[in-house]
Amino acid sequence: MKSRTRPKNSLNRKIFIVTLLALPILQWLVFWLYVNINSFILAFQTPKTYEWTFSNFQQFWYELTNVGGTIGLALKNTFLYFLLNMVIMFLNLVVAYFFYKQIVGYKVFRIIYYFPAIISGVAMVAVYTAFINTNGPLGSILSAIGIEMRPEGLLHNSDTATPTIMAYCIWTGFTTNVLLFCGAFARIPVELIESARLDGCGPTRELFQITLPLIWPTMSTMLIFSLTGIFAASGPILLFDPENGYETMTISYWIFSQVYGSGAVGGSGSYGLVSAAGLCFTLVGVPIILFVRWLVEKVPTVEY
Amino acid sequence: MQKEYASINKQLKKKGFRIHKKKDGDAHILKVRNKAERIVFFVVFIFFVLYAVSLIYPFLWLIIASLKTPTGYMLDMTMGRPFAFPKPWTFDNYIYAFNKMEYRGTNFFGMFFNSLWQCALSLFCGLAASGSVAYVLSRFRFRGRNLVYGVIIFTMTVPIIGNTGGMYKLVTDLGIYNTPFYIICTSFNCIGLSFMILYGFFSNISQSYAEAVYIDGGGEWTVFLKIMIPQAAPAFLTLAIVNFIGCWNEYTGPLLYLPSFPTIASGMYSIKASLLRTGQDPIYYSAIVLSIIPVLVLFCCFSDVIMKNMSVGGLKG
Repeated sequence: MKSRTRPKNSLNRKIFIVTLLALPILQWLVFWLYVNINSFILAFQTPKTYEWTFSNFQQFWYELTNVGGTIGLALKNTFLYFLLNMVIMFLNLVVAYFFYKQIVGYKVFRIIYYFPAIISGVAMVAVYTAFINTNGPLGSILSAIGIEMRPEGLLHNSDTATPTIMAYCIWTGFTTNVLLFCGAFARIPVELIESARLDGCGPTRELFQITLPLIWPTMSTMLIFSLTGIFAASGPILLFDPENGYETMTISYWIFSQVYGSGAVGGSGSYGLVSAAGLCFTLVGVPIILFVRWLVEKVPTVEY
Repeated sequence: MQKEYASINKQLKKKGFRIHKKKDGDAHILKVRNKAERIVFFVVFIFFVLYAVSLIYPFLWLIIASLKTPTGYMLDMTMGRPFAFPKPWTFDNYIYAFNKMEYRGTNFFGMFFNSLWQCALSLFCGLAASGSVAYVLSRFRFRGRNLVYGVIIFTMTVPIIGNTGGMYKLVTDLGIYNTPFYIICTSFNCIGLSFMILYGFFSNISQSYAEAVYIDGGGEWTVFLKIMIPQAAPAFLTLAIVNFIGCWNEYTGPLLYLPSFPTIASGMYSIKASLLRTGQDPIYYSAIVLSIIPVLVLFCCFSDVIMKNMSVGGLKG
């Protein structure tokens, strides 16, 4: 509703708007737009001498397609983590549904399940690593039931390292998304459920024909946000300390490892290669996101 | 109302549903379950309990391990007695972790202090930027508004990766590498969940409050600072707590850009290798326990606020 008393279009109002927007916009221009333009340029430049070249793309292609290449392995693992994230999101939805249906003790569970979000990843990984150690509690339990773990443990073996980190991701995966789904469920009018039950609607039908359609806006938004991380999906590889690799590389960890220590500790500093890889993945990722967004918007939403 | 509930409950009972009564005598429709559902809920409850135990027990084990002497811990582990209690119980590891453990000349207290100021700066800048932009975009219609809003949504949803090299180069070129200005410059952004939640919050605040201020001769700043910010205090508080916890646990940023200012999280990561290599696991575990105490205390104080506001103010398309 338009107001007569509001000092519309006054100079003061313009100054107010400009003052509040100026710094955040400047920050975005410098630390997002300029950084991305700079990354684009770096992709076509040689390291340190900054001469124009396509060698970054050639190296990227070689690392991607060569058998045993780092980027190819990283891409494979990244997709695995992305699929895992989708599974975890589905499980989050299931857990939130039972919280919404007020399963016994749901308030306590909701708080306990949120612990991994408040406790540092460094601490969580330390606990997890100590627990799954060959000589630790898991090794002891398995030994008691007749299963002997390999002496090198689960994390120092190429066959088991990535699945072990993925298990960690599931273990710590029921945090903020569960709360957001709970929020969506909580907004469903109770009267709808009551009248559906009175009309003879069973629990399965209630779930698929009433509950899920009503929370579709939240589900679709979270799906799109998850897809934005398609090439950034990863476990906390750095914290698991894969100094010798064990085929745990992901794209985001590879990018980090290329840049980490460039200034002080002596990392590779291959900004050009990182930027070229980033550019290629972005060019693949953007159409996927736009397509899924278009597809999601096709599904009719229910206002309530 | 009571009669309506009684009538509904009666009808549902006839259909074979079991009614859980609330304290005031009303049944809650969400707890109305038939036999098959009750079996499913029981099985799920067992899984939920097991998962909850799996989250809690390893921490109890870690606390117990942190109270062992390094030699006692190593002995227990090699002898296959990981569940053994400490002999003797000792708090020396905690004293050592707090007083003597250090990384790059920064002791535990220094890391704690670094975490505090970095979180405070990051929180203030992030909420100031998100709050300002969210308020302006939700309350005013002006030329370029849709462009700014579109850019924010675009930035949030388009998966751009691989710009870490460009960011690192910019940070070093600007001379803010390894300085507190890095936090100020990079945190003053309005892209993210904070913006979305505050935008929704400001959009839903009635315009009549502002009208009253205009009538009394107040301007935009009065409305913003004295009316809107206090009204949005619950949202700001929740975001502040959640962002504080996130910032407290952040380790990649300090590792990459602030190596001389190790925080609790980045310091713990950096110290880990040297402590574990020398068989001082219980000292590392005690440092871990000390590092999580502040966020646990914060969470215990504000868990209701977080659960309520995150759930209620969550995403809705």
